[in-house]
Amino acid sequence: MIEVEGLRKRFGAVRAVDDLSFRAAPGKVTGFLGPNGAGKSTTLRAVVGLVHPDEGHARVLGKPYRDLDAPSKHVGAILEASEIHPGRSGRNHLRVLAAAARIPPSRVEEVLRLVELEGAANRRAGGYSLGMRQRLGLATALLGDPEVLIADEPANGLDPQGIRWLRDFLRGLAAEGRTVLVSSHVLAEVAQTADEVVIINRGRLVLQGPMHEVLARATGGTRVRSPEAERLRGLLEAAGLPAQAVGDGALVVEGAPERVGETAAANGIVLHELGVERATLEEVFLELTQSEEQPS
Amino acid sequence: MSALVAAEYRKLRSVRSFWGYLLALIALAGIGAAGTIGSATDQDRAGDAFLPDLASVAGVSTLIAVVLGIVLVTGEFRHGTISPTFLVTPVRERVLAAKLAFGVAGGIALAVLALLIVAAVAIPWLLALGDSIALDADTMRNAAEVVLQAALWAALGVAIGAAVQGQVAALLGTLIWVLVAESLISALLSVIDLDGVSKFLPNAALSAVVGDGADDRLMFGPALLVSLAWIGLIGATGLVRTLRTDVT
Repeated sequence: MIEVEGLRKRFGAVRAVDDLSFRAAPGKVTGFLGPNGAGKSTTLRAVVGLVHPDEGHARVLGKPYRDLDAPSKHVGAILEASEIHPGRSGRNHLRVLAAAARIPPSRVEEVLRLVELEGAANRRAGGYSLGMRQRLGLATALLGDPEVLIADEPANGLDPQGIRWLRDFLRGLAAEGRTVLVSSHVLAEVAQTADEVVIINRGRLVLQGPMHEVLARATGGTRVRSPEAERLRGLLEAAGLPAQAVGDGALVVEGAPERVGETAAANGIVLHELGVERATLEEVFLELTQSEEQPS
Repeated sequence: MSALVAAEYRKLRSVRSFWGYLLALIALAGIGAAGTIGSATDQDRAGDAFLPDLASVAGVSTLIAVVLGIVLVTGEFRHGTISPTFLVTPVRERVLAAKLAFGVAGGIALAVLALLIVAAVAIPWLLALGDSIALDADTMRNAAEVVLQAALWAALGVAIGAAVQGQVAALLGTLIWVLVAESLISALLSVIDLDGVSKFLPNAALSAVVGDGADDRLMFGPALLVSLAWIGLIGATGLVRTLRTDVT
């Protein structure tokens, strides 16, 4: 369980986080979304005690992070892929942290195997690709077999297989009853992973709710394609269904596909395509975060 | 606490700069010893002060000790490893305490190693010249004071590192202070008739831990106390800064 309440943090003149409250529950993957610079990293760093909030507080497992006993055995965090000494091997990076946390060296080998980094474990981390650094970061977070996993943009630098692997992995952790909070600036990236989403913009909460509710907003109108698009458009508008040409003989219509199909059939118009238009997730995301920028 | 000190040892051992410290120490102590013996006349070598002076050549270890102390802290900020370090140990006082303990141990080890290097150069050379080597009380005292001095410089390095955080700024600032700034301040102090204050400045105080007290130097006891006071003052600044820092 992660609880953030009334969190505020300024850096100079910038309000990085502004009265933010949300929670991430165990057994779920919570997606933490917002455009770049929305305050995601600051919030996550405040949760693990690296950043001191000006106001409000963050608790993990009911306590401020600093007050946790052996925190790395309860909470794992992947914050930035670059937080590795370039001259130290991946294995030694993990061994250093394991030594400090009193975690046995055998666990280092386990997590290296888990993230499939054994082959490169003895190489200096300065030569790692971004994807390898991300996997080392994940290995670091998992060292203590934590109940809570916090990941800041963990998919950055991963190839498509890596992203898929990560998605399955995070889902698996949540299925075991752990709390997973994962940030991203791309809604589509977490759409298939997250159960819950917390969307922030300019340090403020825009929306918290189940993923399916956010996805439901992505449904907009009907997409239809016809060799007689222009004629169909006129007929649809006459029937009270505003339509817009989107090129290549396609129209996007404000109305259900049934009514569009019926209108076309009644007028003997050939259709090449008819279906529900799902505005891209990014459009929903932009809409949510823009309405925040321009309060009406 | 012992786990954190062990982690500090692993951090140092797992990067190549570990060998850099050792090579620099071997070069400085070896060259220092060779230079002292090579440039000494028969008369110099017969003097009472020769062996004690030779022991103080191991004082070059203080330079490596202060660099080690600084880098123990600033290296983590430089490479961003301070984040995982604080994630494992969010009570930051403990991280600094471990670095201080390990830095002091490292300073002592460097000084002992420097003494061994000086001995390794000096003993065969002096024996070949037909000198007798008697480890008198002054020599032993200087050797012990060199070890103490390196421990103090390492502790001061950790304190400076915590107070400054930036590696280049901390290293360069310390170098400039020791080589230029403190002498300039001493000169200014003497202009306004405050010569007596100069010996309380950090470099002067830490230097006076080794050797006899002269007119312009503190005696051993006061030198040690003033050195500890400087370490305490800069260390307290470093502690406050470390606790307040937002690691972003």
